[in-house]
Amino acid sequence: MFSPERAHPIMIFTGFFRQIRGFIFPILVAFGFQARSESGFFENRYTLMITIVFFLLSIGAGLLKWYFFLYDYKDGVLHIKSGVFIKQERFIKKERIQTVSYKANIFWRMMDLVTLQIETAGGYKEPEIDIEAVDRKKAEELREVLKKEFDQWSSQGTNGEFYREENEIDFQVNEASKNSETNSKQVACFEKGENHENGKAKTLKVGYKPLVLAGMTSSGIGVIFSFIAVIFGQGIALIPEDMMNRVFRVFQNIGGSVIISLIFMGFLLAWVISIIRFVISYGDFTIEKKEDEILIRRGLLEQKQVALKTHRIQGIRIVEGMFRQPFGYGSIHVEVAGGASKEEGFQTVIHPFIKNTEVYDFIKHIAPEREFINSVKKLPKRSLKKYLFRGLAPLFPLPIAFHYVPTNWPWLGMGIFPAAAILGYLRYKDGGYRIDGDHLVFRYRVMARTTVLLRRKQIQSFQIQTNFIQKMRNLTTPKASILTARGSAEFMVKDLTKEAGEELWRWYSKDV
Amino acid sequence: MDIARPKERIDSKAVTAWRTTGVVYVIISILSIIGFFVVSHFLGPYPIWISYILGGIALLSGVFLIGVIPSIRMRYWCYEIRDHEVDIQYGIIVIRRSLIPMARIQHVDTEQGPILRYFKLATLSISTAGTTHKIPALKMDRALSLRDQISTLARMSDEDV
Repeated sequence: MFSPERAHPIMIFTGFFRQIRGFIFPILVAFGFQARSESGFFENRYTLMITIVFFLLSIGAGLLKWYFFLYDYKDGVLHIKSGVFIKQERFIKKERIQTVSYKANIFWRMMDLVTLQIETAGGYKEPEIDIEAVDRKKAEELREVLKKEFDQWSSQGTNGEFYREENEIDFQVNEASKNSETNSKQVACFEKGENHENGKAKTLKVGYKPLVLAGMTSSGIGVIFSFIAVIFGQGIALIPEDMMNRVFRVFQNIGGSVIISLIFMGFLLAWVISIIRFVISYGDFTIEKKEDEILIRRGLLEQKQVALKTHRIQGIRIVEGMFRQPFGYGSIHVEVAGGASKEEGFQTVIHPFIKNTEVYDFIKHIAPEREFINSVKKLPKRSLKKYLFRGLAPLFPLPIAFHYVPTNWPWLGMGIFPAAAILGYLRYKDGGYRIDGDHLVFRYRVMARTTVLLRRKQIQSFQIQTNFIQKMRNLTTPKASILTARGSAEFMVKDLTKEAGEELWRWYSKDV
Repeated sequence: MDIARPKERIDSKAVTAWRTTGVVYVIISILSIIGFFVVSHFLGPYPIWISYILGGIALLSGVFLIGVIPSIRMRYWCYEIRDHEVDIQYGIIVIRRSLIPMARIQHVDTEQGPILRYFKLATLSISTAGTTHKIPALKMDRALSLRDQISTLARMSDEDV
């Protein structure tokens, strides 16, 4: 349809100007140095020579880049060839193209030229392809051809797979305040635990009691505590020395118990602050399920609203934090494809605090095509050793450090060893996987126990990774990559049996 | 693996190409040693052990990049393109085996630096939404035909997802 074409020769100069822009600062600096000496900038032979060579090189580079940049469109495939020394050829199927847009600065507009920007899915990077300096008419033609396909395509049934929806605004932040008033009645009746029978929309609201509990068990406390500790530490450094001495004397008089209680008070304060912060950011948490859309509203001071299409959900994570798991609670997060690169929209919590017995129903309700599977196939006994090793290995330099840096309480430092061993054991105990139809469940622990629900169709690629120790012990680490708002995420369970790896491989493969 | 290894190997010329790349690296490190002596001569003597370190790096990288790694890498690299998926296996200490379904492939690129071009080889890179997988140093026409093959298969797979 289109034969191989070069961009408008003006591209040579845009490349050139871009180069200049990058080097303008060093040139100015050089100029400044020259100005201070007696001879003028261009009077110095070398400076002049270097400047000329640099300009020639820049123009040459621009020329070569332009000469070697070719694009054409044939039989539904966009083909781009580029590169002077490192040749690159890119083929993009029409069906895969998400958006075609163009931009033009003022000079280009005068010449009726545009930069064509073509994006494919996974748009976390910059536009994947920029075709610079294209004649406007040609750009429009090309866009029409590519767009037609796109329109047909997006009107097809979606089936839980990743499709693009550039035109729909998915993340609307701070625009919810208007809606919230109209919805407040509806929400209020749910607080009493009634079900909305009339409409298709179903709303769920998280009350304040669970939110406070969630805040109490959130890991935010650690962050705040260390923050306070830093402030205290910095503050102490600022206090004049003689005042410090006086304070010390006071402390000596009042004794250790007061110090300990002060530390305790500090800890308590940090905790309360973290609870308040949590409640403010998750207050009024409302989740509403419409036919193919989930609406989430949260926040007391600054209300945030997120609307996401259910078919864009790529994975669900159930996270049971260290402090929550013992009480049987956790939070639920979703991984959503594309679109929301800017806002904090990636952090999509669909339930901040849920009892583990309610997870199944909640997921059935929010994403009916998914199922929460709570039991997993465990890791083999022989991988325990590897988990313990991984937990303890980073600590081995510690005794050596204690040897050289004397501390008053080496035993306090040593207490970290059993803690690491226990963590290693817990990681081993919790790890596992399960396959159920086209559903895949990975469970693992870093700090919090995490259960990931994936579907075969949404896994972009699958990998089994075996290092030489694993090979000797017949172990393997399977990894599944999915598409997320940040780009991609990889989920894995370390040290499964080789047989499990093969089972997963066969499950994912269509041909083996 | 009880699952059979991917059937196809990369081109044997790849070893030569990688060795050439190794030679280039070694030349660069030798040049940096010479550069060190030159700079040391003009800007006052620098401790000599710096040149020993540079020399050691040059020697080691020479042995590994020219002698050891290319042939081993070649031996462990394999791939297979089937109707519904691309299967890649590589790695010596850590063996990585990846499976990329045709239906997930977004685009296929070929890439070629000056050395690969001299040997008429090209690297094929396969991108899904989120991950990129490379098959290095294929014969140029093989890379082109694979690219077309993958493109067609990927397009066909779109329909039966």
